[in-house]
Amino acid sequence: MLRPYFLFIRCLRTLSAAAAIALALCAPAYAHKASDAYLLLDNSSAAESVTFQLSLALRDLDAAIDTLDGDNNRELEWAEVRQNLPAIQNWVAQGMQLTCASKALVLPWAFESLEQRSDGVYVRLGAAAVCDQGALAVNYRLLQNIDATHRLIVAGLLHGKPVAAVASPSNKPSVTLSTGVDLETAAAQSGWSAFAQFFPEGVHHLATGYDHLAFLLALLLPIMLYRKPQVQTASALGSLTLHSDNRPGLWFLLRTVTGFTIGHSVTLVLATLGWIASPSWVEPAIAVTIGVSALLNLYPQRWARSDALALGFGLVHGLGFSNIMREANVSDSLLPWALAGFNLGVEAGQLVGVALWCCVHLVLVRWRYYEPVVVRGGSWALLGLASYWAVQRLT
Amino acid sequence: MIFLTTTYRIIGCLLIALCTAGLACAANRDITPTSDSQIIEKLTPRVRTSASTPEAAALAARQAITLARQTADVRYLGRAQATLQRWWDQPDAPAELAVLQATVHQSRHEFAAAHRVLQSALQREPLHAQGWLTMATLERVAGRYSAALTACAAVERAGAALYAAACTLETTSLQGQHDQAAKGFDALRKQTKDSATQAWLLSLAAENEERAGGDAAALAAYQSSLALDKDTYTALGAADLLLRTARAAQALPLLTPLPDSDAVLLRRAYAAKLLGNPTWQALANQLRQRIEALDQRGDDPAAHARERALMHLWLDADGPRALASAQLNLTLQKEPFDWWLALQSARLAGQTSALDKLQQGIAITGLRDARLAKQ
Repeated sequence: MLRPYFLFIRCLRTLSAAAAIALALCAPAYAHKASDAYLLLDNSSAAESVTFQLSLALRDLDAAIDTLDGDNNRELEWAEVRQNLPAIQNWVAQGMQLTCASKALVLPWAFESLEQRSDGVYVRLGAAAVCDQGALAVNYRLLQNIDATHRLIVAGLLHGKPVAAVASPSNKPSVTLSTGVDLETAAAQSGWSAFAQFFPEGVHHLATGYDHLAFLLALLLPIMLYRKPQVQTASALGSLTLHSDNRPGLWFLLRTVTGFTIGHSVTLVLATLGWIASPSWVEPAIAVTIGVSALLNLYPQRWARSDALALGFGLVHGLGFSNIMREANVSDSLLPWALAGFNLGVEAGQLVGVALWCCVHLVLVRWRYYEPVVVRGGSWALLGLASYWAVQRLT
Repeated sequence: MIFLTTTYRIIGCLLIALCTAGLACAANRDITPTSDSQIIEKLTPRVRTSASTPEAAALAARQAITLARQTADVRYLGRAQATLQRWWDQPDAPAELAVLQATVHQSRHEFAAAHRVLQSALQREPLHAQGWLTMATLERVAGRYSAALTACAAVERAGAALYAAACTLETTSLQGQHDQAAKGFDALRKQTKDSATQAWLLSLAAENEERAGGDAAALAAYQSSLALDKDTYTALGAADLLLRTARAAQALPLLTPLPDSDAVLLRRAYAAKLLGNPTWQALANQLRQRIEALDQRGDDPAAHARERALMHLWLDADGPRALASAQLNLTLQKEPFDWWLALQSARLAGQTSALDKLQQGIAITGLRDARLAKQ
């Protein structure tokens, strides 16, 4: 059970002692749900008048009309309700207006009956009016300053067709009850909607999961999309431009990004489907992959090509993505859709990140200190960040 | 012979349909008073909903929230919101009022909104003990235990040492440190003479024992807690333990005096069903009508998914539907009871792959609870 911690509960104990005694004595029926009023329409054709039935909870009327429980004994006798009917009708007329083709409808509300509903006793008022052309609309502001979650639930037949709407005095007091409009129902959870639901999740996860972006940056830092005309500048930092020495930088960038995509997609799919388990060391391991990639930028090794690293380390990152998917508990039939949506979302986020990096890179690359500051400095910064994450995740 | 059987079947179906129709009518039946003095409705305490100063608004909102908690009547939450309306969602609202807004959201199971409002309130006033306590509760409900511990530490900094200690113990107990938590709750209880606080600490100790697998010790702690203070949450916790261990006859007397919330009605119906008492079907119908009335409001279906899942699991014995609702509920809250509910539903539905996935989900949050162990 959700057990809220309240510091103030005890302070209020004395304050509500009187209330508690009242509760023990008469044990009123407490409402299991928030406050609702009901408006039922009945009308078989435009030529006939529309009959309205409005049901209001006595508990809500008590909050709005001071005279209702005049003796304040917290029990409503029939005489008290009967004597207050004019006050109730007046209150309804003030706070609820119906219009037909934008012209006000004057409704002669009359008492019909008391009715027992699932959360207490209601007063039902009835009225009839003709609305043969134009839209029927209701403006409902009853209980506006008394109960912020109060609703008017409208249902029934208008011109022989079903209508349904919900008005909220504080958020949406006016609703148009046009004929022939179907009740807006929650969309059935289809494969496509699962895809649409998880696509933004994937984008969001990549964009806010800084570790994946940091890894991608570590791989992309040494790749040169633009080659300086003088080759000799590379001699001092020749090793850094190793990857782009013989190949065009763009081609290498594509291979690296694709390698990462393939790597993390494979493990994301396998782990989400439950074919492999996601071990507990995944999160620290992700930090290690960033650190290793940054270190290889600073001290390059011939065997360590960034496309191969992207593929291998991508496998680890995919396991990290899969934790999100498994927490979502998607049903088996929708899982392929959700997975596709999530993965494509991750790729979309990744492409945006890479594109942004390319822009920054192309702006800065002609700067003479590009390599010492951006490439080496950036790698040192990433190494520091990765070490911090690794320690934080291991402890 | 076959003809006769078919006829009986048709008559049976008609009778069932008539009974159902009768019950449906009973939900919205007209009342005709016979005398002026006939009592039509028993009213609940009135709360003030207009307040001109932040102090008056805080006092009135607290009163409404307390009544909502004591009576399980959610109308009081709408009243509390109306009281806070002038400051509701305002970025410069006094932190005290923002924390109360978050409490209203939390009570309505709008956890994301509660988190958002609290976060900004605690930035404005970083030493608000109640704010951090509520934040810790939200993090625990979401299964983010390390974030909950951070919030508990902030409660300590805000000067509410006993609450901070209880907050930390409850969180580490969820993470599996049951023995230390039991000792810690014992030690905390010695620090206070207030019976309500002792009762509260005993109920936390009871939940800790349940997670540790000590049902007998847990029941004893629940009973000691209830002897000091008849709290609704504690009574429900005790009833759930008894129902889980097939002691419906003992659960029923605990449930009888509680306010008629959906949660209580559900457990009464289930206890009656377990005891072979035919009234359970009338109670189940009453619940269905309540859920129908809830659906008409068009609120977030996840907010009531726990009750829906329990209804399918306990009363309808419909595994697949129970599992679907239980999984929807898990997107909102991940308390041990929610995981237990999903596991039981998956078992009833015979879905072993869902079971495995749930167990993995439990392992990821780091929750340790004997009730959730593999069977």
